[in-house]
Amino acid sequence: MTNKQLFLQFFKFGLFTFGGGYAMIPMMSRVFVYDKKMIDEHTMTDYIAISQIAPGMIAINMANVIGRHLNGKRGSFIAVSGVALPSFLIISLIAALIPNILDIPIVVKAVQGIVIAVIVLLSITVINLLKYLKQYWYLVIYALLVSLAVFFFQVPIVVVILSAVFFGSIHAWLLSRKEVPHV
Amino acid sequence: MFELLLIFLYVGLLTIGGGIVAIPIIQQEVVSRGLITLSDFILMIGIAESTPGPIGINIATFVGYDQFGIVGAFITTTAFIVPSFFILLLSINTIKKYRQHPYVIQWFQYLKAVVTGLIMYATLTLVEIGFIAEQQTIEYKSFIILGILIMVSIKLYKKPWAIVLIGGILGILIY
Repeated sequence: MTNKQLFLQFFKFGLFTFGGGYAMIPMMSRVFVYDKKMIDEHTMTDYIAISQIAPGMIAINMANVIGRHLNGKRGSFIAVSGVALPSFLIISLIAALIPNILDIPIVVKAVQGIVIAVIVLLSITVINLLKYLKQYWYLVIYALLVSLAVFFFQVPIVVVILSAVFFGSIHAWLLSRKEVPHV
Repeated sequence: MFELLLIFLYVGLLTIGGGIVAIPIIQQEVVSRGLITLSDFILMIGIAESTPGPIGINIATFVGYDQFGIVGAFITTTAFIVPSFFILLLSINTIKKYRQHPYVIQWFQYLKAVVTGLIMYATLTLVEIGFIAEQQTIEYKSFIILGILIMVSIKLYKKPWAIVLIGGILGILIY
């Protein structure tokens, strides 16, 4: 795949995928594993897991590892630029076309409605994540505690993230000593 | 502008588990510093969720453009991507090697819980805004919109832009 084709392919992912990075995973798999047969299924599964573990956005991480797989480090840069550029252009255009949009009374009312819509959208995400967590009851409680700690006590998010590494390490250490049964 | 650059480098470093986690982090950093009003930020989330592309990039671009035009948008978006880009570029082989390590598996499990908690936190702040009116009274009209949107989302949960659009129209009609 030439760098130009790589760029255009990722530009398309950025332009046509609604719903963020999670929605991009199946599209990327379809194109590279099934249509173009450039990456085997096992490697792609690895890449999807790595993109979720590593810091950063999933769509960007996917572009990073797939770009590297196909065209080396330069491929990483090209794929990441390609997938981010449509967002950058579209949002800049929207922001340029509607400056001071909140000075219009009707927009203020619309925003109040959009707040409720965003609550619904975020709740859908939370429900999907809880579906995954529900097999580990202690993680569900931990998630609740995290949300309350940040909401009521303004605990900095960096502290919360470090706490996950801390508790995860303790859990792994206890498992390695076999003092707790596998839960 | 330098402050904005640092904020987004920091956000890029902390965003683990997908761009949606960036929402509460950007909110904590940008809104609480008074750079952007909460209602502006909500509008940005609404638009970011309903336009194509990674949601984190959409929000970063929006915040940057709002502050310093196209240059600001370029700075925030780049700063947001750069930390994780280089971390992953340099450490992909290490991550590949230790992905199945018991510690890494547990970190990831607990991080997933944190991600869930952070999105709940973002939702809670919006509930506070959406359901509590100026004199600390409950905004009952919001429940009507919520009820309609829940029914609509059962069919349209894969089309976030449609939910945002319907929410906006209902807001104009009802409030």
